[in-house]
Amino acid sequence: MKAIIRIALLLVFPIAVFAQNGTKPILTSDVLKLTTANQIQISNDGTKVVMVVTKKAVKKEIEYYYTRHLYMINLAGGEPIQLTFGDRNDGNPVWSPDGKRIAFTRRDGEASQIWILNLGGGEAYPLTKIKTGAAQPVWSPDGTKIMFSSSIPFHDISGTPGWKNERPGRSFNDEPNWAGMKEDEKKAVKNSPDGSLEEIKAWLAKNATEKNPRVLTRLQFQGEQDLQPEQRFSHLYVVALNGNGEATQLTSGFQSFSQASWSPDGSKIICTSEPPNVEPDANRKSSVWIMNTDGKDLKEFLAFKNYPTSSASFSPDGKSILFISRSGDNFLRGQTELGVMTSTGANPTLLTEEFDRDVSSPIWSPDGKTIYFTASADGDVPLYSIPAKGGKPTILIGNDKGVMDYDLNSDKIVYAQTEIANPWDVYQMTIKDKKTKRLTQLNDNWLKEKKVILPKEHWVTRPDGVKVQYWVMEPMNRKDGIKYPTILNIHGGPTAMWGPSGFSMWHEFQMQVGWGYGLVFCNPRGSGGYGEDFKRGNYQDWGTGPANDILAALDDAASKYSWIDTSQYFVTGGSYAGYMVAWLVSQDQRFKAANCQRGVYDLTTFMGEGNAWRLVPDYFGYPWEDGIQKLLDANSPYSFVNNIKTPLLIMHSDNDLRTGVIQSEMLYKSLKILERPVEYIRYPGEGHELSRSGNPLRMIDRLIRIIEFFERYAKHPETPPALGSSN
Amino acid sequence: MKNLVIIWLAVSSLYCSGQTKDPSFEEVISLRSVGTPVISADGKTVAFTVRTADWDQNEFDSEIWISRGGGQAFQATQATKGSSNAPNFSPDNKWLAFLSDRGGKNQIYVMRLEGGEAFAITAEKENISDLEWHSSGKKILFTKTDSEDKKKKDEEKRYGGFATDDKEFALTHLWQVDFKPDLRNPSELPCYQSVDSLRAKSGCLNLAKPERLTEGEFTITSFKGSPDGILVAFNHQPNPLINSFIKSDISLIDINSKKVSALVVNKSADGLAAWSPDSKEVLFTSSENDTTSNFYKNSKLFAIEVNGKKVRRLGTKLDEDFGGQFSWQQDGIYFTLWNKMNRLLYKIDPKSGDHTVFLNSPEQIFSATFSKTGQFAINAKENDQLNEIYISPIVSPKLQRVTSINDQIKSWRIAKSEIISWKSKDGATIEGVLHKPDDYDPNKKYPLLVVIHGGPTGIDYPTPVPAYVYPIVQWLNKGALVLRPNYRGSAGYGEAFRSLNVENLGVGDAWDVISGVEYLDSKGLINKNRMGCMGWSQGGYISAFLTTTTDIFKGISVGAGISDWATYYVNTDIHPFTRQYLKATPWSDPEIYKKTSPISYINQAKTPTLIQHGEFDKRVPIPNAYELLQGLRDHGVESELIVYKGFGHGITKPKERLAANWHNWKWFGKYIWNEEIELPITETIDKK
Repeated sequence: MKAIIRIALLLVFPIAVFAQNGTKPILTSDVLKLTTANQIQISNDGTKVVMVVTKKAVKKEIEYYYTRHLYMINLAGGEPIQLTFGDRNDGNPVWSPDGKRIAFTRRDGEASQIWILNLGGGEAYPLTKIKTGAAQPVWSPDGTKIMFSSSIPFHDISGTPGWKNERPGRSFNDEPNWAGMKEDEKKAVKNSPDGSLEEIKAWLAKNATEKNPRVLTRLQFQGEQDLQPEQRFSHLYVVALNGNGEATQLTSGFQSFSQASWSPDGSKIICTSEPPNVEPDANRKSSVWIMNTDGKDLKEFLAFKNYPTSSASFSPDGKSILFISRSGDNFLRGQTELGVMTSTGANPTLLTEEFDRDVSSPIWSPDGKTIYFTASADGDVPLYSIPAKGGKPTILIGNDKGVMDYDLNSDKIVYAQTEIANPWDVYQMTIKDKKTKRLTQLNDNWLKEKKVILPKEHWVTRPDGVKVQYWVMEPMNRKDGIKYPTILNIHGGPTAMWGPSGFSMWHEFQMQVGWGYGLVFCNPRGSGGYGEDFKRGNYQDWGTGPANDILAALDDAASKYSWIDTSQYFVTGGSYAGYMVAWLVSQDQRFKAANCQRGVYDLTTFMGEGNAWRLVPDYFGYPWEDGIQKLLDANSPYSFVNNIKTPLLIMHSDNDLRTGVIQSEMLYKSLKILERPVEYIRYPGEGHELSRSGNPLRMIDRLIRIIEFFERYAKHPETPPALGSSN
Repeated sequence: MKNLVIIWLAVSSLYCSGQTKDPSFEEVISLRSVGTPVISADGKTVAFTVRTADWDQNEFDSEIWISRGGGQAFQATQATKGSSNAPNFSPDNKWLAFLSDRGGKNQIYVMRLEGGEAFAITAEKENISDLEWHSSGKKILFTKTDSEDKKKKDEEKRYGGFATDDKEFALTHLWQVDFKPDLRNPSELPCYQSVDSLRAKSGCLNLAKPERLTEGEFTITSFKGSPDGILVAFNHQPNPLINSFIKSDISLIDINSKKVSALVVNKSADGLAAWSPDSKEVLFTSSENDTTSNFYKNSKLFAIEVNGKKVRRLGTKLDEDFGGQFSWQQDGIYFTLWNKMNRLLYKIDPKSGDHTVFLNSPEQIFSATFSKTGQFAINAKENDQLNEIYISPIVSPKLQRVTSINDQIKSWRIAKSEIISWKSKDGATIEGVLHKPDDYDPNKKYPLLVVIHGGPTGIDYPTPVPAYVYPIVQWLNKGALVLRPNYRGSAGYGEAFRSLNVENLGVGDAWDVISGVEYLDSKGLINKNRMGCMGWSQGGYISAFLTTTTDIFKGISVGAGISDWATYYVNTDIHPFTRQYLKATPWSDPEIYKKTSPISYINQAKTPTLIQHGEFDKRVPIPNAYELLQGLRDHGVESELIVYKGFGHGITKPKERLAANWHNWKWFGKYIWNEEIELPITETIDKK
């Protein structure tokens, strides 16, 4: 089926020819030049597009940072025009219904606010001035108001929640709310470490308010880079365009509301919320709520038992509502499904139950007859359409391409696309004749002199019948008859999916082949993009099953490509793949050197160490449950640390609270005691996302530090193109 | 910067009900005001600055507003800190260039009129002071001050700080920079040095490099490019010292060959005004060879041919000092001039040189700007209004207001203005503005406060919110009359009137004030036992003169005033001022200095006097304040000196201006109303 679609597409589309047919290798520091554009929005009249262009910039010679600016494309022709400037980060642009202004978010001071840019001329100005910051602007259909969300801390919400106090032996409001008090009110509060219990409690509460110490009573106490002792609740506000900037709060209390949108007639607001009176950390459910535009008559509108439901939006004629439901409420079980119902909430129907992929980013066609969406599938991220009445999804853009972002109107789709030949550009497709046109040249200027290596796709069938898709990239300037060192790259998740349409590894892969390495990467069982059964293929089996898929892909590649030097394998991966690298080198001695990044190595410890701890019960169970501890030990690389003899480079970021550093410290320390070749790298100021959105300078450090480690053990048959090269 | 201003537009509509209130000092200081407009060549867009008070930064901040197609103006620039100034349209009407300091120095920014934020096209190490788009639209001419001598910095490292008086300054010169709209910001696509491949290399991708056009031992104070784009006329003087303006001349530079040639070299000040539309003549004002009375005599208007240097005088029948914005259009030369308390838009026929009044309404027109397609815009006000921006066709003018500045005071109890005139002691006719309270009762006799302007060549005219450091509106609303006299020497009444105070400073001024008070008394308007007087600069001098020469006032406030002309002469930076007005130095004629100095009469001083002075005032240096203070103390006269820290001749920041208002409110509260007033510490208005 898929193959047929591919051929059809090839017939329809001319193969785009890009400028990058140069000869130079893509170097480590080229990561600074990679430019992307997303958050694409087409104006209502279809003549203009606004988007956010992300670049990396440098000032004072060595101070690296990101810039995110709004750019506008006139679809009638002409170069994209930069609309916003400065070192600030701008995001989330939305056109006013009349197309005369753009609302967007910008942080210029304490908190992000909604800003307005008039297209009649003039610089942007802040519309909101809310202390807790403003996000997700949505214009009212008549263009007079903007709805936004703001994250309100517990202490700013009056009353008491509908659940019992998480703090043992204490009740709500039994101590002064220091953070919510004015200065003169604070002075009136008696507090002391000596004295009555009330004064002691007040004194302790004061210290806790200053996060000195942090008092942790909630389950999800770990943020991404900081501890988060206090609950926050997302609430909806409305602010008038021509007012004094004061916003009206629509929702309140100890319940979050988000993903809000207006009905086309401006009479209702639908949004995503959660069960009231349930402590949010214990909750994994969500449902669609509805209210009047003044926040009154708020009620739950659509909820499925065990199907968290979200992302609701009205059809353009206001008669239907689409939504996304997840067929299960944990990491492992279930898929995101697209659903529709009438505007009164009748006849909720899931459209994609037959479509065995996770759908995302649905958008109505202007005539309401079609719904467009994207999904990770077989290494691509295609754009699909499906009739709103139900039917089979059709691929509009696929074929080794990834649609990273898109918007559409009645006759065209404007989308950001990643493919190996061109890491990122914005295109337009005319819906009627499917003709495409590139609208930007985001990376041409530096890419035109570079040589880009294309991957070759293969499948290997495992003894249990599972088919594993993998890709091979040959080293740059490969000559026949010569064998080359080869890096096995592994992805995390474990539900992530890699493929030629992926952007996150685009530069790293090209840089590695420039360093004279061949590359093999695959999507082992447990990966996303191959359906629900495949995704569940690593249930209670993080190690052996996926590891054997990965090694099978490597062996299959070596059998197909004689240039792969089987005596010079290297392996690298992060997060779950950090785990997998450690697993592989604890089970297999074929690798010359290995690099595990931001990994987890002892699954029992993982229970406490990261905010992603729910992976443990979702995939295995709780350690105190019958037989589970044994299972966790059997699946933990740390249980086999004594077997690790491969030279190992362990990397972790100091502030990574998603997986935590203790397990990498256990691994490192044990290998040191065992006198194994090991080196441990810690990045300050970074969390789990160093490789994707970290400080650009540390990003470069990570990239080349891995190569430098491998270079200690690699024997290149010829000087790698990147060695000694500079831009 | 201040946030959008829709805020006050909207708020003001809440007060439509006719309810009025006494504005707070802060509200008066916070009033937004409009600056000089510029109109685009196609007449579709008008840009001008709007000044606001930024209380957080404690500064007055200007941002550029634009009006498009005659629509209501809106704020176009949003500098986070500091101001945006000098709006200038590209000849193709697509871009607005302006100056702004957004981190470091004043740079040239450009903004698309079709939308989008501004970006810098220069990254100069020194402040850019002025700019003008070249007629080709492909480059921008600008002036900037040369950087400080490096030798001076090295010297200071070793020897610390010192400077030779009148010898150390930096010169300002003319530059040009190419304008390339799609040039990328170099920080966004750096290239790297090969030694350390991450260290950005300078020079491989850069902003367009400005090119210096002029060199030499002179400083440029203004410039204008010829309409045909070949020449730039520029005003220059030997150095930036304040008195060097008397030596200012006009030269031309060919921007291709960089050849400079002198154009106007009169002995006294020559001022560049405009180019003729055919690029053949340059309009200028001049004091010709008068270096001894140009402080008060009229400058004259001339046109000079660029080739041949033939000079002809224009507007000979106008008896007022020329200055301000000139616009030479095909059909005439347009400019504004005072005519008593009105300021009119005049037009001179370039052929005959004769003038006509082009526009005499609103009452005060401060500046006018003309498009190439038949529109003009003015900054003007009616007697009972604040300044607004108007646009109009040139043929059969019909003004359309594009700003709503007066919405700010809709709900306020404001000053009512009447123009009155009286005969002074020597028979001279003096005019003044008499302000009455909103609820004026003709059967009552009111306390009187006289507020005297500076200059002496300043002018007072009707206005709804007279202010500065004097809470005039609040005094009116408290139940007082306020008189603002245009004493002899003021602008607007011709050269002879402006010369009436020569060799007669103070003495004649005091006649004019006292005769004005007597005139009001003769009409039965005022309570002579409750009168006060005040003024800043020359107005402070006249107030000081009244402190020591009369006892009719119960309290006086002397702001940055002169107490002794000899003290003034040696301390000020404008030494020629006294030489011109007193026709002598203290050493050549001590008597005239004595006759005109308040301190000469200190022995008879009786009036309680508040002295306000900026700490570093160079125009009227602070020794004047201490001299008067000590004289009054020695004679047991109640007096108080308040020094505003760090200020020069003006109180230019909102907070200190607020303080200075309170200091006057307190002083006159005590001596006119017999009230003890304390400065409140908590804020009286919600600053949003």
